[in-house]
Amino acid sequence: MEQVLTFRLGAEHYGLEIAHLQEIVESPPIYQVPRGADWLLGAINVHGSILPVLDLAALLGFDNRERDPRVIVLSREFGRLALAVAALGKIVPLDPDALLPVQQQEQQTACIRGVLNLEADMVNLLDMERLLGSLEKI
Amino acid sequence: MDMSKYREMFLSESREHLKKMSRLLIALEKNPADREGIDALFREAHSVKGMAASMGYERTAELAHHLEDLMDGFRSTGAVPPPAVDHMLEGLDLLEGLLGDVAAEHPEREVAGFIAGQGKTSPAPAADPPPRGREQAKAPAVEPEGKAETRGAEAARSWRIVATFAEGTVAPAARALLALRGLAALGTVTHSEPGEEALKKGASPRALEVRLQSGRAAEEIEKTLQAMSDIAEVSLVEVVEPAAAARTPRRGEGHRTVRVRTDLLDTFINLTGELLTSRYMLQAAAQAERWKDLSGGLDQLARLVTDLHHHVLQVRMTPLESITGRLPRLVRDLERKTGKQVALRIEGEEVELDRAILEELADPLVHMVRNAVDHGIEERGEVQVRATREKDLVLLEVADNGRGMDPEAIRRKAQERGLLSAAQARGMRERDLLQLVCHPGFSTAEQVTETSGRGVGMDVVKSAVESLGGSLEIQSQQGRGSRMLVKLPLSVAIIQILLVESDGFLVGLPITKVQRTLEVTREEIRSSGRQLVIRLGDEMLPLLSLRKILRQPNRPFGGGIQIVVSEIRGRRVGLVVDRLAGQREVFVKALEYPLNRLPGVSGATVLGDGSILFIIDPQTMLDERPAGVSAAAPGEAR
Repeated sequence: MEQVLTFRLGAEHYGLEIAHLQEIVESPPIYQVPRGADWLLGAINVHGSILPVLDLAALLGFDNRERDPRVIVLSREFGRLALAVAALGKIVPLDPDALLPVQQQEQQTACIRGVLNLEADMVNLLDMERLLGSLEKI
Repeated sequence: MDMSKYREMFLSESREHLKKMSRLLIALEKNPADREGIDALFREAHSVKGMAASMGYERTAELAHHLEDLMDGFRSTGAVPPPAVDHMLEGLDLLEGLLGDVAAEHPEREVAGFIAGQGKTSPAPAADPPPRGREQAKAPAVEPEGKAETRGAEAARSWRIVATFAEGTVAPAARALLALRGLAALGTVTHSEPGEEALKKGASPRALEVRLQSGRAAEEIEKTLQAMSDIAEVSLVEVVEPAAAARTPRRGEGHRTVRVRTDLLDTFINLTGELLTSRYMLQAAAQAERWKDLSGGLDQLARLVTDLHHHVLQVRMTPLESITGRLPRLVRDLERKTGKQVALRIEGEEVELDRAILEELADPLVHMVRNAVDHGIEERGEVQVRATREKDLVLLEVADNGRGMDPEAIRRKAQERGLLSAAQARGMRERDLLQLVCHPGFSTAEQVTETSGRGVGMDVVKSAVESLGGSLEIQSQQGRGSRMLVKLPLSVAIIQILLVESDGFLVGLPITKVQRTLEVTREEIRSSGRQLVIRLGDEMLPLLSLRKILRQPNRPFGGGIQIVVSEIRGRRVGLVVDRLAGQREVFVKALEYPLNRLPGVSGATVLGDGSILFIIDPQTMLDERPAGVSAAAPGEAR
């Protein structure tokens, strides 16, 4: 069964399919980017490659400065880039049938492609395609 | 079998064959009985046919076969008759279109019409070839309507449309505007020559050239134009843009193929073997704590890495020929269009450059040659393209012996357009004046091209050259011609940079952008209007602050002030930095999306300690500044 890495942005819980991840990097030095947008946290050196680090909270409009020292490196299918989130959580199984649909409006503004209902939490499943698509417009 | 992985190779090889064919044909046009040329052309067509057939691209193979047949006919008659050259060139255009279809994974377009149309081995005895515009219109139009429509629904295609107005047309500008609007209603106009602005100002063109992206059928576009009065001739050619995909570099680039000489591959294998040996030696030495062996091993490792690096760069080197190949055809078409007689001389095609540089250089080169023919040469003349190696640089020169540029006209125009104040205009040297044609506002001014003989798109050329770490110099003598001198690094992968610090942040400036560095004191800084300047020889150098360009907090001047002298928009400026931190050679890494979209960030490198250093181009950063910052006042260093 597919698995989802959960993390927090502000008060919201988000999730990303494990299949989309390459690795989690422990607190790498993040280098400033000249005149980068506020959602572009900087760049990290991962095995000699220079990867951009996107501040997911800033990108999705969360007003929160909290940040996990670890960053998520995405797999190649989305282009090589890393995501910084407020706090990484646990890995949970994903049952596609139990995925609740979301309204179109939410899909667009919050880049969610479904909601996963865990015992206590609602986990918003991140829509990477849409997220990266939204970057193109910035 | 999955053929998709061979497709790229097929495309790149076929395109090379097409370039050779076009060049051979144009040579044959001048020397129709050249047996070797005819044979070579036959072989090229034969190769394309074979490759296309084995890949299962039936129509491409069919058309290549048709061209091969034609050449076979000429082998028996011993000469290529002039009208056949036109037909063959059209065939090549159509072949290029087919390759475009293959690249875009569209079904191949129809070729039967073309082959049936004039596909006789002996060319029609018509005395004069029909006007070229009309002729070209046929190629795409032979497509059955139904098919064109379905494809239209799939994706917009790109058309180059030339509408020529009838002799003595009243108010051609107004007609051109109408035609432009008519076309805009059919799709997206990406470019027009003259542009809408120029037309509104009352330019009186003889013809209108438009790039249109539209999903409509060729016939429909043609009909729309022909329905307008006073349009005498319409030519419609589909433009295949292999670069279209590359132009919108989303994340990650598509796969590209490169052909590598086998001896080079052997070298790699040998080097890799030596590296492995070296690694074991180092491991053994480290385990046994034999420090002397360790240090010897490291020396060997360093040598191997340098060697490997050198050879890897070789893989990317491609002869200039790969982009000069299309010039003869370009000049021939321009000759036809303008009625001028132009001799094209190309030298140094064997000079090798990094593939990435060549790809970026292709359009600027076409631009410069086109400019030389269109604006430099009056009735007859010569255009020379010459490439030479000079140490780590390649010099590429496009020269014509035409009328040259008029510095006074440029001076006047620059002042009228508000690019220079009266005093600045008076004080400017001739050499610097010529550089002004590269100013974006300048090149769109149609009147300038009429009086000065240059200017169209030179801003594009200059910025392309500079983004490759090169430089562009313009020389011209009235009545004796103009010369565009492009200096380029051999490779973009390894460059020399100057490290500078700004607000605690280290960035690199390509050394090619740095003319010199100097340190001045607070007292040496004057102010001229709102602009801070320093005196450098007999020149007043405007100052710009790197902090401001990088949008960092300002700081008051104190003590020695470090300045990097650079050129921005054709003018020398002093870039004020916090600290100079040395010079070094770095390996530039390509940036991942979205870093590759940051204006003015041309690359990045990883330094020895693992830290990341960004390499910036201050000019592009300045260009990104909102709301018209004019070149006359490039920011203040306060």
